[in-house]
Amino acid sequence: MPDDLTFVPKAAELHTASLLVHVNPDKRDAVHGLISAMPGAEIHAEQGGKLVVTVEGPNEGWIADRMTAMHLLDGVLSAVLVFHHVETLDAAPPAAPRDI
Amino acid sequence: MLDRRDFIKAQAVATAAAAGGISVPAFAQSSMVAGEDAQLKWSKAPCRFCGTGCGVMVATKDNRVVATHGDMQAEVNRGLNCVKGYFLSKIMYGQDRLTQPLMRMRDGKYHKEGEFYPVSWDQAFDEMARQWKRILKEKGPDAVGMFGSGQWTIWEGYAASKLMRAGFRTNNLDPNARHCMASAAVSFIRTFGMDEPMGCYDDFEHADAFVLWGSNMAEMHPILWTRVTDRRLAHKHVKVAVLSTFEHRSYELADIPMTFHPGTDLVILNFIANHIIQTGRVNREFVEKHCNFRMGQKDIGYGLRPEHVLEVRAANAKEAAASTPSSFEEFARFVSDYTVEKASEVSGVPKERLLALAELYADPKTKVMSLWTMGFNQHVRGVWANHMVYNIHLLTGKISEPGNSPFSLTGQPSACGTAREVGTFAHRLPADMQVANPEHRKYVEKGWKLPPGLLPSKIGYHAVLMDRMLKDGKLNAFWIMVNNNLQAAPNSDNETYQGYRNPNNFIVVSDAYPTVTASAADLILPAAMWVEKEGAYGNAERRTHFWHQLVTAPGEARSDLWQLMEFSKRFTTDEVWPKETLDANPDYRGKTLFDVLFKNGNVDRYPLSEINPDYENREAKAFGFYVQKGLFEEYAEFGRGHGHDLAPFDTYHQVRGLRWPVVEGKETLWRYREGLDPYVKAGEGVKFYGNPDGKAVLFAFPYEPPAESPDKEFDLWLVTGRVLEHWHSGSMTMRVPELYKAMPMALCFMHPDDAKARGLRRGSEVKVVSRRGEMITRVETRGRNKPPRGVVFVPWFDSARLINKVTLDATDPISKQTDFKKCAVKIVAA
Amino acid sequence: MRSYMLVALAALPCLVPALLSAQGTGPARVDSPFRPPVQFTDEAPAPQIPADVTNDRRVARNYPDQPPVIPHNIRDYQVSLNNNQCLTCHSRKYVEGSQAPMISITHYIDRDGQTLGAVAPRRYFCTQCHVPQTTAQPLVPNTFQDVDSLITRPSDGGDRK
Repeated sequence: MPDDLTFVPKAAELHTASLLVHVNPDKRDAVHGLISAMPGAEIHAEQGGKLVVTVEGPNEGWIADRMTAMHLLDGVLSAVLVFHHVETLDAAPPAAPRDI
Repeated sequence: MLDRRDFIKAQAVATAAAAGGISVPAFAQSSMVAGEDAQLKWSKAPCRFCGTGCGVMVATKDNRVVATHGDMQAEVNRGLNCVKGYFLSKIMYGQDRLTQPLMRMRDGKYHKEGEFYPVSWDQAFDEMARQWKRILKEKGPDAVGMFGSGQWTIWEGYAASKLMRAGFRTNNLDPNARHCMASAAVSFIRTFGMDEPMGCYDDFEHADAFVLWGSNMAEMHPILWTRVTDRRLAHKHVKVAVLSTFEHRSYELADIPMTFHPGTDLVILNFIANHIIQTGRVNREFVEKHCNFRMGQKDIGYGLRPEHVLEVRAANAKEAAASTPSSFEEFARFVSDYTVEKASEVSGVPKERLLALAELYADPKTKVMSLWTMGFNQHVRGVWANHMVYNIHLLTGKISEPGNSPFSLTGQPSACGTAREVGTFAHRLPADMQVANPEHRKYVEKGWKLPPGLLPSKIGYHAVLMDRMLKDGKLNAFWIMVNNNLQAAPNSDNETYQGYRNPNNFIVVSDAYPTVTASAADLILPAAMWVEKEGAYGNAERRTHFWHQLVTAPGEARSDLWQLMEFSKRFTTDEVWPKETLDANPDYRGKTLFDVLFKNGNVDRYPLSEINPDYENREAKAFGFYVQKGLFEEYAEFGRGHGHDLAPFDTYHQVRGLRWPVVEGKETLWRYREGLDPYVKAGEGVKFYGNPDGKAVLFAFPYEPPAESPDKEFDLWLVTGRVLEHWHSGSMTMRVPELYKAMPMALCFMHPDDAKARGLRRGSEVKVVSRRGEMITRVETRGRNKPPRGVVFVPWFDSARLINKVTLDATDPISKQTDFKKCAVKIVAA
Repeated sequence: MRSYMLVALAALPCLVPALLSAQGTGPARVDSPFRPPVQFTDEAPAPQIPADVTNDRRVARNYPDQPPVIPHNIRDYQVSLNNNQCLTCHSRKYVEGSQAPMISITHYIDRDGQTLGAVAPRRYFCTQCHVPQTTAQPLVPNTFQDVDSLITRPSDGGDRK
């Protein structure tokens, strides 16, 4: 699994994560809609009750929040983080106030 | 930035999809990446290094490996890798890959003292076949041999076994697993009648206590150590006991750390047995129903050359494996000498720690997992040590159930799968059969479709004996595959190198990189490695796992399988088989060894059309049939119905490995217990069915000292071993810059007071000197390994500093495995 | 042939048979690149123990899943049953004070995929994956190419001849 000792908190960052979300087939449509509506979240593939979802955000807290939110959705059996990557945005403007 | 961002996102999707077993439709990917060229192909493979057998996902692009990560779906590691595993992507890309055969030549012809010239495969095999035929004609099959490996894929080891035993009619075939697992394998057979552990890695999540016998899992089996750590830190009642001859990283997790004097683990083991008996905690019912007792042979020598004074002096060196029937009462009397006082005095471990350790075994409520590797196996009494740990598990009935598990760890990715199950040892045939058993040979001849009586009955030379025979000029044609024996073998200046450079000998080395072994060879054959070929390994918990060829090997490099099969085409049965055999079986006349061994109706049974079209398969294309499947299925037939059942070939390409025996599609996690093992019938409870009477055997053995102990002149113990960052001789990991930079040289770890007493300090250049040779390195007094006074540790990964020039070629007399952990040295300023 | 492992006997050109030089290939020694070109039976002096890299500069990873190397000294760091010194800078609650990179949130997930409130026990021993670096310079170049370079540069089709 990836990990991230390299990011410098001061710099602006882009966090990219992917999750494997197991869904109760009966609630599939509702869950689909709710995840699609979350900012930064995107569904890429679906097969046999499993969704591949990416989440992009400014920090790991953002990712964790989305993950928790997905966990709590009615119809979601599990949401497992598979991939997490941090990219430092070199050309970014001075750091904006952070939300954690 | 957009391209990069999309690319990372694509990778995120691909990783999650791979983890979930979901295929990502092309449009889903291309909708968010800059172009098609950012797409990666992810495939599964086992790690190339140790016996743990972690699953990795491998990303390829344009015929190159570009990334790897821990496989979330692999039960063994669930997404984790150790630092070596995370750098697998780079092991094939050292710039000095061997890409064409190289032969020593002078005046355009092979010459033992010549320089290396590049030659074609035809030239290489022509000369090699010429030498083999000459030597076979002059001296017979005893003069040819092969040294293989627990890193061979299953079909490579199997093809080698066929070529050597049935083709050249010699059992002079041994794997480097002899240096690694022989003591464990021999004890398994002697105790249970079957090789391989009864438990599995699921024991980690069930045990209440872990006892590391000489093993430094934190560095050598890091992913299994994560499972021990997980269990220990998440469950407060769990205890970890660590025994070693020096303090190392595994002590960081230890509740009961114990540093004992080299070789005295035997005393501690007998003390535990005695403690269990004296405190009335023997599981009498289990012992009566499921155990036999035997009295072992004493004073059995040290596996040195027969004329060595220690062998001449030993009373029973020639009958080392003998034993006589005994009883529980006799066993109890035998171990009654091993009191806690005696154990503490001999081992140097405080009494209260020994008692705490003994209680982990004696307490019927504590589920205990014993773990060991080279500390037990590389031991002049390694077979005894293995037996003694089974003794304490059998006395308490703590075996063959979740969490109660004597567990022999393995050092190589297919030590169990290839070296042991396939039977590439000098005394073995597939599925635990033995060359000395006429019934077993007959059975194998039938399975291989060979004339009856063809297979030789004489046990071949084992690893250390091969080196001695090469030096003595009795073994003359020698092929070394997937290992670096000149760096690995003990007493190498005197006993190994001399044989390679003996003018009577022709030495062939197949390797991916120019190792010290290759540089001492006469012919070097460039090898394909890891995912450059389709492969299969069997890990320490009996898990068979497969991978596809994912990239092609550079230049002319070819897999060992291709080399073995292609070489077999250069011999006809008339050249290498006895006349009587051919007279009695004229159908075999005039055929090549390739025809009779590999085009025998079994191996060539599966057409190319059965190959997964998504993957290349060079060997199959070269020979015109699905060679790997044919070899695997022929081999698997030997074990099916006999407790070694393997699933159909194609299954393994789908799953993340299965633990044998696989019966009716189900793997077996624990052997020998009703409800867990399909071979134990209802009502039988526990049955050690490897032995005819269904019982396991406890052996009584005493403590006997190591072959060489420190004295006035050579006043320190030398212990050798591995480090986390490098695997074995470092031929792969030393070529990964990050791993090289983490651990660039083998240092001499020693106690600061020992250094000071010799006028040395950290960084001093020193010679490590034994009666056999010396190596030069620097002193490390502050490193991760902290030997007690009187002990030094030097790892063997560094080919610039060869510690095995110093080690002693003493072996366990029963298993013939070298003791790399105990000899006497002195340290002097260089 | 490549020069790193094949040391041409330039001093003895007359011994090179014409036949072979016609193929454009000369004789060669084959040596382990880690060993000075000495006889197997000889041992060379040992270089100094290289210093640790302590510049605190991040090193680019070869691929996203590679554990980053440690750019500082960790000698005598205490990691035991009760204490993990790495976490005193890199765990979530301390990074504000230490300004050290926080460990990835993947490290909070246990073997069963559950997210925990603290670092998962199986990730406790950091040095199983993260290793410091010394100043030693690799003796054998590694030709691994990361994905980015394959995307931006024309491919050689995996041909490594």
